[in-house]
Amino acid sequence: MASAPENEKNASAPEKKTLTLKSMINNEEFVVDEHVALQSVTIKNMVDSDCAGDVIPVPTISGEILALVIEYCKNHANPSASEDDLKKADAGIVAKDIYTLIDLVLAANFLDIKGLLEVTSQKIADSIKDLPHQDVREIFGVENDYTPEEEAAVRAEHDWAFEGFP
Amino acid sequence: MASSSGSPSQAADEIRNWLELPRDVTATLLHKLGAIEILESAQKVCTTWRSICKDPAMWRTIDMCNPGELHNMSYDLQKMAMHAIDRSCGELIDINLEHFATDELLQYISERAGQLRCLRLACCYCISDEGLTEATKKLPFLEELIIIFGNIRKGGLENVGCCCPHLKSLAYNDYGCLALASDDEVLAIAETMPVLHHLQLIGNRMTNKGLQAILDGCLFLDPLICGSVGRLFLGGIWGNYVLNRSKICGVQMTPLMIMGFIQPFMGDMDQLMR
Repeated sequence: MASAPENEKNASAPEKKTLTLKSMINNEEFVVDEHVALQSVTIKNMVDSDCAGDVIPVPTISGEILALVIEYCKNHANPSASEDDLKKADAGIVAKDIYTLIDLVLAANFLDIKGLLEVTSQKIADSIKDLPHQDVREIFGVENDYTPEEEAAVRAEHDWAFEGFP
Repeated sequence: MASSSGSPSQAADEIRNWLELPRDVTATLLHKLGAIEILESAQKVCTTWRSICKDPAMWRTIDMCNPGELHNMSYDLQKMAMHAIDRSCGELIDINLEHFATDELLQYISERAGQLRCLRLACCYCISDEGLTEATKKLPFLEELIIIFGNIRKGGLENVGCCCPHLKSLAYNDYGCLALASDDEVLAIAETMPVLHHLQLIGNRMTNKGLQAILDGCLFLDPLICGSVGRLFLGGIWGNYVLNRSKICGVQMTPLMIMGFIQPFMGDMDQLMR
């Protein structure tokens, strides 16, 4: 029993394995503990299949967004964080403008981080709720590709509209 | 930290290929808008979004959440709900109706969504016992029924119990002095819904008789959530009996309940609605 503390010491002594994630948008690099990075199923698959080199390139995600993703992963890899703590931390991460959120949801999807995808898409949904579709188009940079005939067909389907209202 | 190449806005433009997001992710996001917003706004954005919004998978769960000011709305929620149900092509499993639903709509659901598992009716005062009965006859797979305010009474509940043998979860909540559940309703639940695992009765006029019937009739409850307006007396021998039985079926007892009274529901209205 006397040697227990020593054992513990030995157990924690091996260096923590880290991975380096590199944004291919602006070449920013982040060194993160492996268990943090493995919150991403995409990275986990790479590591599991020995495809991960010293530096893991992350295409299409900027350093700014990658930093947010890593913050999320760190929070959720912490076993002592309570559900309440995580909720608050998540709310902090998604308290961003809509454009950052759209980038974040794309990143969460690419890196396959379910929880982040969930909270980010909820936040986006909350912020575009009640906006007219023209505004939504503008925010998402989506072009109106409806032909006038198609638009008329969509309107005709709306038999739930009361007469006299636009 | 390496230096960044190109201006930040340029970088952002490169990565914001929103329409390249996989369909299922866009669908998840659009689904979070709720049925009304999807039909009124999202599907008008572009043809890709419209095709996602037409997919029956989008309509397995229909949330008709709304603020309830029906006279201020430019659309008929009942017609809209019917349209949403049509889009589900029989795949509907979970629907939330607030304020506007009628017996006619329930009938419409029952004829088109035989696989329905969860039905939530909040403030739907136009739904009668008969309407609910007729609908549930065609909804044999219903597992969860949530009634928050309304006019469903003993007869309706009895028939739900008889028609839906898989019903595992029931919430029958009201608030204030006109609370829904009296002993009549509670007895109907106890007699016809023996396999309930979850029962919520917030705001009720139940007495000891009702509570005993529930404890005797529904043996799988875990937990029973019960906020009463204070007609229960849990002192003395009977209190001990409830406590002993509660250990068996997992009734949640608060310290106040153990002292002699069921704790009245002290939460706010939002909590009751959600």
